[in-house]
Amino acid sequence: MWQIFKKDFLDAFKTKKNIFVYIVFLGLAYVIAKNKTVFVVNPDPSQLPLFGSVDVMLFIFGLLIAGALFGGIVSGEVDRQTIRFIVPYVSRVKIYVAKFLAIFVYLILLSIVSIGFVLIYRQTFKLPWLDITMLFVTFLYVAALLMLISSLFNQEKLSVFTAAIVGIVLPILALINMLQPNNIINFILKLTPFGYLEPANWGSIASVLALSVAFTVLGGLIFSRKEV
Amino acid sequence: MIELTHVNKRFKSKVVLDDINLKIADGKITAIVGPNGAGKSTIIGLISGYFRPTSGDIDHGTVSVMPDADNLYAEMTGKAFLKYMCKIKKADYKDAVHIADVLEISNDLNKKISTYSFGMKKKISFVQAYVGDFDTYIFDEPTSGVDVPSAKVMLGLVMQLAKQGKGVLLTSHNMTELETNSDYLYILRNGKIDQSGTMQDLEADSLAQNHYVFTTDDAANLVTFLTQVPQVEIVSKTDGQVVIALSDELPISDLIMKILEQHLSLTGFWQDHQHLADIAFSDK
Repeated sequence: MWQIFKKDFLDAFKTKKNIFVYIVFLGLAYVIAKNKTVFVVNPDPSQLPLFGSVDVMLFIFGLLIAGALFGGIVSGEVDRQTIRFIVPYVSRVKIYVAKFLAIFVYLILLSIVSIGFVLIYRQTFKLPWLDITMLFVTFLYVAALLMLISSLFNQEKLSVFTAAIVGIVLPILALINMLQPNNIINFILKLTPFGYLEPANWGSIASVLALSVAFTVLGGLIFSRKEV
Repeated sequence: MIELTHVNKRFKSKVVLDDINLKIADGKITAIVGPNGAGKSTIIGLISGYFRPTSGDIDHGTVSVMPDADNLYAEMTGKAFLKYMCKIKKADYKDAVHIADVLEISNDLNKKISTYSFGMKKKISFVQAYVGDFDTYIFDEPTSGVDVPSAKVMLGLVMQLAKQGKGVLLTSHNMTELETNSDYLYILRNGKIDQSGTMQDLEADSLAQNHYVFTTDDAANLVTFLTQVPQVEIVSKTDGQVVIALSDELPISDLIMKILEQHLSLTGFWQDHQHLADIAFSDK
């Protein structure tokens, strides 16, 4: 299982997309670090973590980033049938967990590097742990949703496209709902971390965690029965 | 050992395998033969876990598989791929290097698999299938596209596995290869097992049991005579040779006597042993 995790995790770093992601986020981190009116982390839990923070950017664009890099993590291997080299030796559950972890750990590392850059630049190490926990749970959600999307499709292009569309549409829906609340959009957003944009609390964290678990189980069931 | 019991497989509405009962015994090389689309790859897919049977049971221990060589990790080097597979299969990488050396691809291991020829891809796919300690090994057309010396080496290695008590399942389009190396064969046709047995069993069951070849200087008159014998069916004829199918009702010795009594030209005759290709791909 660890070999599969290691391969998928390291493969992401070998892509041009990864270089682009790191340039953007480190650049953003630098701008935020230099600009003292914008906080990288929000020490005041009463403020909404919406704009101007690296963690907020990761929250908003996590699915888009992960989709671009890992959209074909299952579907690509099914499409090219490379998965036939590992299925006889590793259980479907372990394959699923390994790939899930590759996405999750990538996002964690990206956040540590970019947030860490700002903290070190500003020489401040006070972290809003609730916000950080919410961010990491959001990454669990992103990994779960992405694994579900990638397991649904047999063609890599289709799953990457779907993940990208979802990654773009959800933040837009969240913005629309903020400006002009809508019951239908609100319902859809409640199935995503964007439905819990109030200041992070254990209730919202638990809700997003529950959604992550649900999508993981659903994706896992689909993958376990998938003919490759 | 691998055992398939009353296995059926449907892809949507299409029946691909119909009541398959098959055993791959330990210490034996079992071959599955059949035309394209017969269901050979589907059987391998079911055993390997790519597909699930629609019904029926598949009982197997640990299995090592050589999938289609076109499905390799193209962006990996041969070395990276073998290391990856050895770690997944808990096999010793040195064993992989040794087999790669024997198959003469060790000098290419630092190159990306995408640069490999088809034969090289076959070899590296064979290497990854061969390493590790498993109950059964499955090789799907291992020698197709491979140079003749390497094909012989591969088959030698496969036979070694059987001698070590491992089960081996082999598919190939090279009938001579299967004829000489298989201990047991299954002939698959339209998703069903048509015949099974050792090569001797299959020959005994086939029509060739009563096929005879006559050589003659006067094929026309010989054919004219033979068509009047009710127990004889002319299979083929050329200027110097006539092949017949003889019914069990008439012993060959009696037919020869009749030919000689007619003073017909008969320079030689023998029983025609059908090859596996004839048995597996004959029209039924």
